[in-house]
Amino acid sequence: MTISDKAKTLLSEFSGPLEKSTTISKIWIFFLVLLIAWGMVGLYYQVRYGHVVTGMRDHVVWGIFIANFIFFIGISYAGAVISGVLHLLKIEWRKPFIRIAELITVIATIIGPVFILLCVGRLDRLHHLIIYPRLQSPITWDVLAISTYLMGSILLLYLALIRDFAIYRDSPELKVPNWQRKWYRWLALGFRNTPEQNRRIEISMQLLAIMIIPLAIIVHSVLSWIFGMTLRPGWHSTIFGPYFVLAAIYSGTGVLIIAMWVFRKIYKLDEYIQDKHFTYVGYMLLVLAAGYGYFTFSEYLTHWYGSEHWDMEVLHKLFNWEEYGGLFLFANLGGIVLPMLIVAIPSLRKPGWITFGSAVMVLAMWVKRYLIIVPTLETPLLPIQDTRVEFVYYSITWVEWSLTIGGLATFLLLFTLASKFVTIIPVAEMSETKAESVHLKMETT
Amino acid sequence: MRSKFIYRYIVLLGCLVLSLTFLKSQDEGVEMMRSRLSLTVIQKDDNKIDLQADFRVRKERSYERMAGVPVIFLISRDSINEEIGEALTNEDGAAILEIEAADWIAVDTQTITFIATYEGNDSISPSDRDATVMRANLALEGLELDSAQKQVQLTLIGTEDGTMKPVASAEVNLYLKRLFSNYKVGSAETDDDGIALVDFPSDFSGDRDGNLDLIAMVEDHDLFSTVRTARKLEWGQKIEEGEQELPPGLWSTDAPMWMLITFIVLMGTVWGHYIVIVLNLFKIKKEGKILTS
Amino acid sequence: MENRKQTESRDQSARRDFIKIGLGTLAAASCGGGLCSCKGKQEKDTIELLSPEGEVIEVPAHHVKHVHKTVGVSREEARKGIPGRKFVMVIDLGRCKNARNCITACQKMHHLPEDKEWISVLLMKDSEEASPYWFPKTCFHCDNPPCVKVCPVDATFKRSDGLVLIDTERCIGCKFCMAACPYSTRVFNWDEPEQPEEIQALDYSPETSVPSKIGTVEKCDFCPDMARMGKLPDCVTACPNGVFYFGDENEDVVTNGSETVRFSELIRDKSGYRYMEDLGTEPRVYYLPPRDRLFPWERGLDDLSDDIKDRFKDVLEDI
Repeated sequence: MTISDKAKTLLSEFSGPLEKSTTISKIWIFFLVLLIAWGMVGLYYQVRYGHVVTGMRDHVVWGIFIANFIFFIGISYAGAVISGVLHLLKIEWRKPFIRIAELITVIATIIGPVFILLCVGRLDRLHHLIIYPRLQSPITWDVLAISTYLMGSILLLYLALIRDFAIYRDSPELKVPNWQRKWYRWLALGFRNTPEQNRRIEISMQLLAIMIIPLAIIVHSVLSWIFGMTLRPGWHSTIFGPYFVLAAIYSGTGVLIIAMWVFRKIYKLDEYIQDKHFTYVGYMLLVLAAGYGYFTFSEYLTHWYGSEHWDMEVLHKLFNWEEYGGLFLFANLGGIVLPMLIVAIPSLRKPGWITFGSAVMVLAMWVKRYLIIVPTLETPLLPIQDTRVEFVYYSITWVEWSLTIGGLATFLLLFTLASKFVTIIPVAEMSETKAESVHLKMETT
Repeated sequence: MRSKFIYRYIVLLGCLVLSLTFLKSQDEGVEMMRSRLSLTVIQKDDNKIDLQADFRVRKERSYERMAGVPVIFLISRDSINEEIGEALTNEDGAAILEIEAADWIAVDTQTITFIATYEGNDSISPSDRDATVMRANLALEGLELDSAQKQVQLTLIGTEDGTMKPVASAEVNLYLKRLFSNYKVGSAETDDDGIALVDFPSDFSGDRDGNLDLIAMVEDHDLFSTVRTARKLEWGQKIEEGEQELPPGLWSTDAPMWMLITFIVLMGTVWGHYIVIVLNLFKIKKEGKILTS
Repeated sequence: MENRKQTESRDQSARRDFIKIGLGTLAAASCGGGLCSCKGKQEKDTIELLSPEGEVIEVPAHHVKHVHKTVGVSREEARKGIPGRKFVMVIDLGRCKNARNCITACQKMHHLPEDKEWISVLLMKDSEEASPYWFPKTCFHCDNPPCVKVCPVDATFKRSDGLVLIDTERCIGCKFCMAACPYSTRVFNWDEPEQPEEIQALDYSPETSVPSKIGTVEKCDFCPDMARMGKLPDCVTACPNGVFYFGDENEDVVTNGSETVRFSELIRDKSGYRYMEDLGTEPRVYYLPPRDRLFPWERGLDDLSDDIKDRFKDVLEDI
């Protein structure tokens, strides 16, 4: 297959991480492996001694594992939305970071469910989900929706990669070990850039782009219904579906911005991921922050105004400095106000600031998930009395922290390893771009 | 057979729990524990007699039941005591022995004296109790006055001057047998003909055939001790098995049809498309092979 | 072994059996409940038992076997429910003084450790001016059970006789049912259950809920194993004040062991109600309002250990 000059230039520019690892990246990987090993120690304890090693107890039956689960599924929206919506709208500026987004989707959708598994008391009986299925349970919906979503995301990522794999395969300049090239050859599926093959990929991607959006919405709605379908204050809310969906798109966009910034920094991609891209995504962030803020306001205002006894119990905990007041304030200031301000004020609308805002927002969104889970579970309809004192409040144990950090490290490690196997910029797609940046780049070389 | 087996276990367990409770107090002092027996003679309508001895042991301030205690029953005739048999107390502390009236009591006997005794042991004092009764019989009959009103007629006859005659002014209780206990429907006093009438409500449910188990008893009577009769009457509302099934809901084992269809359609659509896409991938591979070869 | 000879009377062989099983049997409760009088705590290898004759026998501890009170039906059978029954409970709040005998009886029945309760007694105060009262809480065995709705593997199920039971051999321990239950009834085995080996070796039945299994959910089961024998659940019989009435709604009769009353009349005459009727869960447990009280509520605090008293610390501050 003949490779265009544009693609050749692009490949030579981004092939660095594929060909050799820098010392820093080796240290980074080693560090992540250490964190994962720490997580494994936590896992060992949990499997060996039971869930007693976590902070979860009869009242707070779910803790940060579920918060992590929602969080990861949330950030998986990055790819779904960017590649789905922007692909359908044929927005050219999506191209430089589309792969980052799709990688986030696939990896986060793999890591997320691991956290729900950590909440399951009998992992040895997981097959019961298949042999005794009950379709009425939101957990079954979740299992079906997430596996379908994961399959779709993998297909979408792979379809976009086929052309790149073909380029890697047919570029003798690319200095990669033989086994790696073999993989490229196998994964490229004999793609020869014929119109017929291109048409097939185009059609498939179009189909997936259409499907991935409703799928993503379903996944997060179903996830919210795990909470919304119960009769608990703070959960039993009709807006939980759209609220979760929007929160997910929002946090997904935040993680995408962080990833864009990090890769731009590490791989010096300033030519491709430009300031204007940050501004564009920043505008998206602003709209999403406004929407998310609106939902948040609507949710709490309704509960507060109606002031039903149980709703108020939860609200009192959220507005009480001695309980969750600080976290709640942070979740709203950092999660809504700060990103909006940064994007709204022209002098702050810079990649650095936007990334900073996104980072704070992503953290705030994690806190928000925690605030959805724990205070509600600490406020059952019947007062918590006549139960072991240590059952009353939830506190995160070291096992839960180490597994959380281990999960995050796994996410980062998979991302790092992926960036060593495929170029972080879609070479084939970029080489078809009319964007001036590529021309500029070519002229300068 | 199995229920018998289970029952034995319960008796044993009860016995041991109680025994151990007792042992604990034993540790504190070696003094003898006082026991107490009470004896009820239950005359049944099938010419059988239940001798029921309730055994209690004094523990701290109260008398407690004890299981597994052997109680010997005797009959006293012409100042001669003859052993009838022995029974162990159950977990309610009652030792029950059923005897055939004809085996022990001649038809013309005026009064009969039964004795229940516990021999005692190193830690529990012996005790005994006697009860003197006259033969009596209670008959139960259902009267349907009209479709709405039902009455139970209870006829009590007892020994008087060597023959059985109606007994007046005796209180008779009517019970309905239910799963865990007997429900007292009502009570009435017998008239000169030995007849007592008790109204019976028509809104009780029976078994599948509408049968109700009725029990009538004269209890703790001065002369007769307890006289009992039981009878099945078709007076209850029928319980239909079908009605027992709860209506299907979100909580039932099988999903509602609409949900199943929605899922099949949704999943079928999405995975169907996935299959189309994967097939496309295979076609790409095939085309690639043709090109290279 | 002396007493063995003594027992050789008329009914020899049967009696022998009795003793044999007697020796091999020990109320499991004795290990946790402090009923066992191990002769001098230092000699733990023998245990004193009382023979059916009321005599003390010393047995080596390893001969002692824990036996469950009942034998449960198979897991398949346990899903069906007892034909024609519809179990119902009525709790008379006017009679409860937090004696907690229901809790300990339940623990004994199900071989639960001392600090794991399937029944709890809450101190409730409905409004500012209202007088506090003790509120015993079992599983409500709802007719529209939110817990059963959400189970992904059909491990917890609703039976035709009204009971909501759990098959802990199928439960995957996702705890969704615990989150869904509005009454916080369910408990989880966070670690390996503390139960004697003999109990753990028993065949599991959802009707006995014994033995407990790590990583699974369990709760009050209304003792259907006892009901099959026509016996009341242990919490009912253990209550010194007759707080709990239990029975079959089809028979329209409930009993607390000493009184037997018509269910419909009891509910009508004493204004029986279901807790949080507005949730639509349709519980099978009815409450009678705390009127005509047998005890002032303060009496409920009298004989509590400090540990238990601590559990009511917060609510007592509010009162």
